[in-house]
Amino acid sequence: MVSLISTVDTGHEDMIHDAQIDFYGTRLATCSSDATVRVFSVRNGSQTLEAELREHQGPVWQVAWAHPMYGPILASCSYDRRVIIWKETGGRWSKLHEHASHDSSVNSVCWAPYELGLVLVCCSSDGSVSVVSYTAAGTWDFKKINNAHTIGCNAVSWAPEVSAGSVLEGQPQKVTKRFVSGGCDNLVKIWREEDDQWVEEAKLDAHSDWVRDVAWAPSVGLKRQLIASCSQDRRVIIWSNDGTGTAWTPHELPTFSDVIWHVSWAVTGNILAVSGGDNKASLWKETLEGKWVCLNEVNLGKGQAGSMPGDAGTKTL
Amino acid sequence: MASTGWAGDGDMLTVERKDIPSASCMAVSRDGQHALLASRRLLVLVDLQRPDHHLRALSWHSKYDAGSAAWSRAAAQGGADLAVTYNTAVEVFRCSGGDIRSTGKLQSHRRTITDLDWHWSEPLLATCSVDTNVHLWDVREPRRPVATMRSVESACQVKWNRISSQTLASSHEGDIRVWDRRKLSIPERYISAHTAKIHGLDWSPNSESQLATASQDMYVKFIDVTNPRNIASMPKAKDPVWRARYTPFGSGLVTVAVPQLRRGDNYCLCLWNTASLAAPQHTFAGHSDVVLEFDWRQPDPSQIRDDCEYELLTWSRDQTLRLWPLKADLLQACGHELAHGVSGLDTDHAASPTTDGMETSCIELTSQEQSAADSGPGSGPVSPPVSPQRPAPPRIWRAISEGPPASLEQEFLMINKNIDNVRIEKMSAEERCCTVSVVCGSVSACLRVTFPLSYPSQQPEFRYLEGTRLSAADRQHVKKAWELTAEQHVKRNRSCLEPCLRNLAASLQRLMERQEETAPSLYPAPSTTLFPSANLYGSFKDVNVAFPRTSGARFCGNGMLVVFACPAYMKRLSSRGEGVTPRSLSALDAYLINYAQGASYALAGARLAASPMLFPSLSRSPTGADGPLYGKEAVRLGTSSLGRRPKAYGEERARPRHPRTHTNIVLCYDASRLMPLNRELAERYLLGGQDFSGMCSANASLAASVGRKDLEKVWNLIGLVGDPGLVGSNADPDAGRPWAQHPFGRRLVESVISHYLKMRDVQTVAMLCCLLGTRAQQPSSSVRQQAVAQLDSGSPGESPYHTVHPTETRRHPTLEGLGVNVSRQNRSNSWSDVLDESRLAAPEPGAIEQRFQHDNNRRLLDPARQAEFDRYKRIYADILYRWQLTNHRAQVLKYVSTVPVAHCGLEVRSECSRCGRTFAGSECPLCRRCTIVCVICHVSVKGMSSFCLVCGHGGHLLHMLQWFRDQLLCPTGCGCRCAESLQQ
Repeated sequence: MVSLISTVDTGHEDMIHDAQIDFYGTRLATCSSDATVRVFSVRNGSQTLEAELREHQGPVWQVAWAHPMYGPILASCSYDRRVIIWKETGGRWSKLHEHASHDSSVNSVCWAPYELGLVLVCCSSDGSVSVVSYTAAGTWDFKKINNAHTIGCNAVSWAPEVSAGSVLEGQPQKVTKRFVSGGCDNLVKIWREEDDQWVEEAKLDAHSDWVRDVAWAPSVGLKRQLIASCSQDRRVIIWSNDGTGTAWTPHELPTFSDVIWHVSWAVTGNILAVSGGDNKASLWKETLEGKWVCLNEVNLGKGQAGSMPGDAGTKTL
Repeated sequence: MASTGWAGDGDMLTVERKDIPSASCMAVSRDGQHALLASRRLLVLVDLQRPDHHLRALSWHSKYDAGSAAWSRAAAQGGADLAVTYNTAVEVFRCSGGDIRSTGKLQSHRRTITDLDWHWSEPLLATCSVDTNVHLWDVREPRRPVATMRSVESACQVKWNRISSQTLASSHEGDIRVWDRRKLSIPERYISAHTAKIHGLDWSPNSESQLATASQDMYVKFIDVTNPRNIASMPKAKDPVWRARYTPFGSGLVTVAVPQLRRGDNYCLCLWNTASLAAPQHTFAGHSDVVLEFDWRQPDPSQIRDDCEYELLTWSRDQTLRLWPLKADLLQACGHELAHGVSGLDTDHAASPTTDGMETSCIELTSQEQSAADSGPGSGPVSPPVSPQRPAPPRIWRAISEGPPASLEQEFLMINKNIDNVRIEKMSAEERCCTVSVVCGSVSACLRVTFPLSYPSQQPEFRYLEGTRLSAADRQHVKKAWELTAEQHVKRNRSCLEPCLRNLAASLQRLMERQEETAPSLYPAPSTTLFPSANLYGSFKDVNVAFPRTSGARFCGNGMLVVFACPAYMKRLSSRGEGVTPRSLSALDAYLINYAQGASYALAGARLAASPMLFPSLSRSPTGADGPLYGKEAVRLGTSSLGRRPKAYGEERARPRHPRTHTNIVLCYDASRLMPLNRELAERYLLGGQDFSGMCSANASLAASVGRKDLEKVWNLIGLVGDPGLVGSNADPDAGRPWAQHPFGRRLVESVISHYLKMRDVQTVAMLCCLLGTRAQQPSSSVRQQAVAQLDSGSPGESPYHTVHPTETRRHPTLEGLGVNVSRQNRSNSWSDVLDESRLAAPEPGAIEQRFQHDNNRRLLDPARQAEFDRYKRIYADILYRWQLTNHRAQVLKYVSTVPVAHCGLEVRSECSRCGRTFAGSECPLCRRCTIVCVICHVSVKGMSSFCLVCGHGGHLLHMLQWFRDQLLCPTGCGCRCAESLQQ
């Protein structure tokens, strides 16, 4: 069910911390402890190094592609406390903006849905979250939520765009901007912009250790919203909300064998890729009955009795 | 010629002394019988004749580590044999019959003593200290120094001249002061020798005025003190040089380098001939940590083995004592003339000694826990608690001869197959051969190694097989290196396959690097530092920063899954079952250091920056893709590299594929098959067109062709349900219930939609919503005008887009159905306003409401849920955008009732040739004639059109596309190079 398209030898001199493919699936950005970001062109199974971006002075934790309607724009965040926004013009990558208002390692960056404009949220080990936006005047502006998570914030993820109402229904609804964050206080928090202020809309408390990653699922137009969070406590929790109110119901996947570092949703919003410290990745899918199953368990047709789903939950699907 | 690898070669003697924790200095007695190892708690006398014998120890208590120790050179005078420095004091000992006792303490220095040296003939001791003074002591008069030499900089080394009894030299940072004992107020000479601190100082045994210095600045210099400008220096070393000492024989010199920050494994001593300093005569490699002290001894003639006149004794921080006997040829190479003459000096031989002379039995002393336990009470643990009354009996070291593996089969079984880049294809002990392939980037070598029957006393042979990608010169080079390695091992009757393979892998690695250097390199060469990341981390806040994610799987773009994994060393640790991965970055250092210890074998010669990433290949197995290997391999890889006995060969073969070792690889997978979206369908689905049922059946067969049987049925069904004739019937509310209210109408359609929504098949859902819902109408002024015009004439209006989609309800059903004449009022700017107007104009409001309701009921999709349906369309459009199917996306977006943003920017407008108005679209709103005529078919263009922006000619999009498929010039013949101007 999953086939290899290309193998990219990144040539990084140290551990890779993130790899992201752009919207079209043609460019791959990787970042590493060697303080560089590399951009590869990955068309048709071949790969060429397009650029090596050397501006960071520390390990680069995460990269994020902006929506292509704004051009080829990439954001990267690093241990050096900075977020750098890069842009390609005429085959050349250059620094478009540097956001250096954090006091500690910046751990995660995420672009807002394109409907909201060129807006980036980033979070840092200093506990704060900042929302950086490109203004109509052509400048960069940011708003900071101080002490969003005590000790530090590890991950942020935007909510999918909540659509504007139709003309036939009257006035367009006001677009709500929301994102979710996870931090060292073991909490997952949902933030909403209200009158130019970011307010905490919900606080989800179920993890027993640092939350390492959060991911808001694409909604596919459904009212129901899903958020996945993973933690040092080896658990992945999928939070669901029926689209009304701020109550979120947790659903826990079976505990994994090691720390979980990444959760990532497929574009259809019903498949979740989970990966962690044991160097394994598994794919989880929601069945029509609303249960979450490990995909290869389903495919193998066997109950993996006694073993962690994560053990078997690997890429051979 | 530098010959490394003496360790384990010849008769080197290794004694591991873990029972003397932190013994920091060593001294060899003048008769060469004993060596003293001094730590802060213990003085141990090692009998060098019988290192496996019980050793004598004196427990000692000092707050400080032993600084340096020296055995008196003259016969014991004044009752002192031995001096050891502890911080600011010198402890003097008497040693007789293998017994040590303290005889006094010399204390006058105010700060740490850095060095001491005995006079060569008198009971005089020179000490130097950080307090800048150099004291001379008569050990018979321990209360105060007999003389003091003062300077302004801290002294690091002090040495008596070996020939002139009056001269001594001391080093102060980069300078040397030469003193005359009779005139101590000022130095006789003051020589600035080095730019950095001098660590080692030694007088030549042959010349009264010759000094050798070793310094932090990585130079060893030879200084003639009578003519300080005459300084010869050795080639710059790679590391700071710790010591440079003349050999007691010939014109040799031994240097010890200390790798900076103790990185790397270059803890070797080099033996040089001062007459030819181009390359060391020999390298004593074997210690795994800094060599703290070395000295020479001349074994008792009765004990001499193999004509070995001199032995080098080394003590290292790795707690091993090693004895390196020097063979005649090396002695000769250092200019030593043999006492009991062998044949005359062969100069060629002397210039390039080989290791030939050193092949004898190997005694390797290894720790044996059992024998230690047998040796009596108090023995045993690695660091036994030392009681003052009863010094812990030393552990016994027993010699074990390390023989060759009994057979080839055994060697094959025991070989460590985890060599970077090396893949063992086949191994057969019966055929006495094995096939190996080594792949290193662009270079690769496949070879077949055959082992002669007499192996391991005879070298194995190898030849290249097909698949080798090496130039002829490189083949020769690699072969030579292989043979050299084989020869070295075979000579000692050792098995050589594994070392040869490692050598081969290293050779290829170098070749590849060389190629990369010469070729325009895609990547900069990886840095050679051990753990680059270790340098970059390290702030106090790290405890709050999360542990770096080193592996991950990310869904990206449209249905792509990007996977990266952590380097092997991280994986190794986590699979060891030591609990979970730490959470904070501050744990990383410990993690990496752990690794370095755990995988020391990998360190040997291997560049760690390029540490292998044991990343299992997923879908590249011969079967095509889907073997469930990943998990098992991950586990297996994680454990097998822990030094466990490699599995039997059969198992190796049973696995369909070897794991390839990679460095920092990212894998991109196509996971779109997991999702209900199909790109092929998206590209080929028909949307719009005159023939609704024809379109549906075309889509049905398309769905069938890609294996979506369910969609085939859905399309056929929709073709029946959505039949325009059926849906459009009963336009009059009085004619009966509309078709949409039939169970096969709206209810059926909505249940189909909700089913596919549950499956997240947004593609199908959006397509259905597009086909069965209403078209987009742009609430702009032009639309309003058109709408008004349309109402005016009752004829089909124009789309706000250039394209025309005839099937859709082009006229607003309500208004059409009403058939009312709405006066031309240009106030309105949206459909709702238009509706208001129509309501105003309508004769009976109730009837209109009824009609409005009826028209809503006639639709297959509930207009109340319009916003929801629009959302599906927009999400599908977004997916099409990801697929870069922008035309299809635009088509879908036309069905969205709310166009996201009004167009601002360039707009193509046409100008009516009759009235001169400009307007959007193709028909002049006033003159009511089509202004755009296709230059190819000369027919008015109402649908999609394309124009050259330079000459203004154009026409039907399809015609233009066809024309410019193989033409450059404008079809009108105006001479404009339209195709090129478009690109510009």
